[in-house]
Amino acid sequence: MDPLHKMRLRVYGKEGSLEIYKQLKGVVFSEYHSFFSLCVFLGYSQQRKSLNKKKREQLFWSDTFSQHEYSAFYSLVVKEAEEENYSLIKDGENVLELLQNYSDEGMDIFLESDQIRPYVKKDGEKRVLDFTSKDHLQKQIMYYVYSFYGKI
Amino acid sequence: MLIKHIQMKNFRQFYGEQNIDLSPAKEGTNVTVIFGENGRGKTGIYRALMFCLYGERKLAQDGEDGKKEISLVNKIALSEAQEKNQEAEAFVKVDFEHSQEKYSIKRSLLGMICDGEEIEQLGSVCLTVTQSDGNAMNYTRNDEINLKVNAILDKRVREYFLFDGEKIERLTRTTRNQKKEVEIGIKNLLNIDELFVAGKGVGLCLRNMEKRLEKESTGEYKKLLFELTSKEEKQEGLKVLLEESIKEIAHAEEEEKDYTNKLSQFKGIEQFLKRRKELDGSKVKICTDRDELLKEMTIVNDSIGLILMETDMREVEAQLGEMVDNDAIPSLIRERMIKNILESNICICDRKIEKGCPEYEAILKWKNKVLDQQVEDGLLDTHRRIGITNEFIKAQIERVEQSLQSYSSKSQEIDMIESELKAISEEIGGGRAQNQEIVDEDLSKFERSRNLVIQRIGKLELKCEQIEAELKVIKDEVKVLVSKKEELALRQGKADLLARRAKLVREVKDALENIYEAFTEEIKVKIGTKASEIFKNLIDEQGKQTFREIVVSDDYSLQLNDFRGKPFLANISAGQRQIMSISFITALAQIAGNKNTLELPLFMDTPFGRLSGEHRDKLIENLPELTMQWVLLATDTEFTEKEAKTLKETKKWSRVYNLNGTEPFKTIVEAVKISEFNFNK
Repeated sequence: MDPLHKMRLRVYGKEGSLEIYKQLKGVVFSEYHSFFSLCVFLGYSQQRKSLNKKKREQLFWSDTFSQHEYSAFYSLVVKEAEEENYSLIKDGENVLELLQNYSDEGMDIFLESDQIRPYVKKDGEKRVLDFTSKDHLQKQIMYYVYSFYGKI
Repeated sequence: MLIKHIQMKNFRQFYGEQNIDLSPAKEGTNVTVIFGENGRGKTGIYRALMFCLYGERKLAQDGEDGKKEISLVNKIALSEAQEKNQEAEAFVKVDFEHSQEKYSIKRSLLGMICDGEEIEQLGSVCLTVTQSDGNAMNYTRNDEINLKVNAILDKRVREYFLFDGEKIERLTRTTRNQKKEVEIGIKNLLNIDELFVAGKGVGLCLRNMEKRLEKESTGEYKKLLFELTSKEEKQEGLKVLLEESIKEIAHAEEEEKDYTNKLSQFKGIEQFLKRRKELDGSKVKICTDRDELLKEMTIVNDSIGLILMETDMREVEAQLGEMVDNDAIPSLIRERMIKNILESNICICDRKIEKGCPEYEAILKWKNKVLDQQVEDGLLDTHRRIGITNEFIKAQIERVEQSLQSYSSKSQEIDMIESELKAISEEIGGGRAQNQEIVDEDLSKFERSRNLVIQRIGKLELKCEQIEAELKVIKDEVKVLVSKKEELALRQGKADLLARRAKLVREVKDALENIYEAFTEEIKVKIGTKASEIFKNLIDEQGKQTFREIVVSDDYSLQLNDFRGKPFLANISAGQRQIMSISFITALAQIAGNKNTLELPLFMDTPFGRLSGEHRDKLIENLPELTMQWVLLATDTEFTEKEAKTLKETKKWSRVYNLNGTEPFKTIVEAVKISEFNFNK
């Protein structure tokens, strides 16, 4: 059992999320992990995490997280610990599972928000983003997160 | 020549039959004012007169470009006739008096639309001359009519009776073309075309003789003759080249005028176009900056989620800090201390702790809380890093705020620019101006083309100056050669018939040139004196003190000398230039008629634009005295109640007409009483 930052694990997202990651990469975020951690923190801040194991798809490798993200993840684990039981911190796989649960819900919070909803279109069962460079989505998302930060 | 009545039917803008009475409505009056907006047909009235008298379809102001065909038949009448599959008839009838005879001339033309093109054809013409005894004669042949009319007023001076206020000021510019215009005016007045033809003929004859003489001669005399004929041929060649260059300048000036006209369409919106260019430039810059900012935002967004953890992480930092402070982590010291207490049963405060007592149980429970090494490492590691991350989050929040603020201010700037651009588009609005690219492109294209034409004119002017200088040198050389030739002929006893005849022809040629020069000199002085006289009446008081005379220079440029006799033209205002031109043309026209009053009605088209109040008043006070009839074609912006008051005071004004119309090519002439005329409409 190793802590997360010492492991190289596959990071998963719930089914259909990869398309959103692909659309945002290079436009709003440089890498997948940035959007993943945003979703984690959105889920965590609303205390919403998926409980049922859902069908998931591979997104990226865990060793792409930044040091600041690791710090934030471990802080989350510390905050989550009950009865001062911090043993989860040494269990990378379970920490990642926790993060993924938050991230799945966080993505829903993100896509259903007032600022982002106008850009979300249904493609069959899948959700996709529909935007052009004129929409300046990088600013919209920054503003959305900043507004969210103001609320919490 | 006193024009009584002009009748027009379907001529130019005048739809149907329209009548204008120019005869004095009251004894002693001779001024008619015709009001009309631009395009309503003010110049059309003068055009109608010229068409009727001379059969002329074009005026000098239409330019020399043959392609610019002027349609004379009214367009509405043409369309109506086309619907009926007929030709449209247009005519102009003018009744006038001259030397106690009454003249009535009617000239018509037919128009039709064929394959979408307007075709016009001259129709019939008839002149009726009624003598004082009541006998009348009809003339229907063009040549007879032209002879009659030209005898009253030479066709070549007709243009001087239409003053185009915008155009005449150009006469005072010392361009080659204006000099040419003045020269032509003077030559027309002299009516000595035959002298020119004779001069040319004699020159040709002389060259032929000298060539023959050269063939028949030998030695130095032959050499001299060869040199002389070569020089004279070169001289003729240069004269032709000079004429061609002058014509080329005239064409280039027409071209320049066209571009200036085109550019004047942009006048008034120039400032807007300039501002729009600035705004476009600013917009591009701000948009580029904003694009850069958006790229930076992507980088900031890579860690944007962290800001949501700010509070939690501060709490965790405090919590872990407390754990470290309490030696909960690392746990080694605490472990040793607990072990010592439990083994010695003595607390660190030196109190005895018995096994089973509550304190003992508490210490035991504390011992069981000891973390395993991996968890402890994880917490310590987090503790070490969290401070840095919290600082990073703090900076990240600042970056986000700055980015959003910067984006907002740039977007606001862009919005403001776009709103100003929209306002500018609405302001310059309409037609092609809506497409700003076309406007910008046209503007710069016309400016570029005009500059090129101006450069070309400059080069041509220089070329003319060089030719003139060369001609002057050759003229002197010819003179020297002629005298050498004469001397040699005398020395060598050359007295054969051909040599004597050539000598005689040269004397005739010189005599003709001298006659022409004497005539032109005389007429120049005459025009200068007359123009100065009129000028003094028309110029304001200050001008009267400053200027002494108008002079027609040797090169036919007009010059204005100050009270010391020094040239002053370069320093006078546009209004003064206009007064000077009016004086010159009035003098030309008066001398043409060989009378102190003008023989034709003087038509003045928008003459007041550049004139100061005092000049306007002077013009209004004096011109009715200088002409038999004065027809003032004006818009209501330049002939206001003030001018009307001055004109009324002259007691010369008796008629006023309005050129009305609600649609193009449907101008109706309406006679109005002066007392009822509404200046404010």
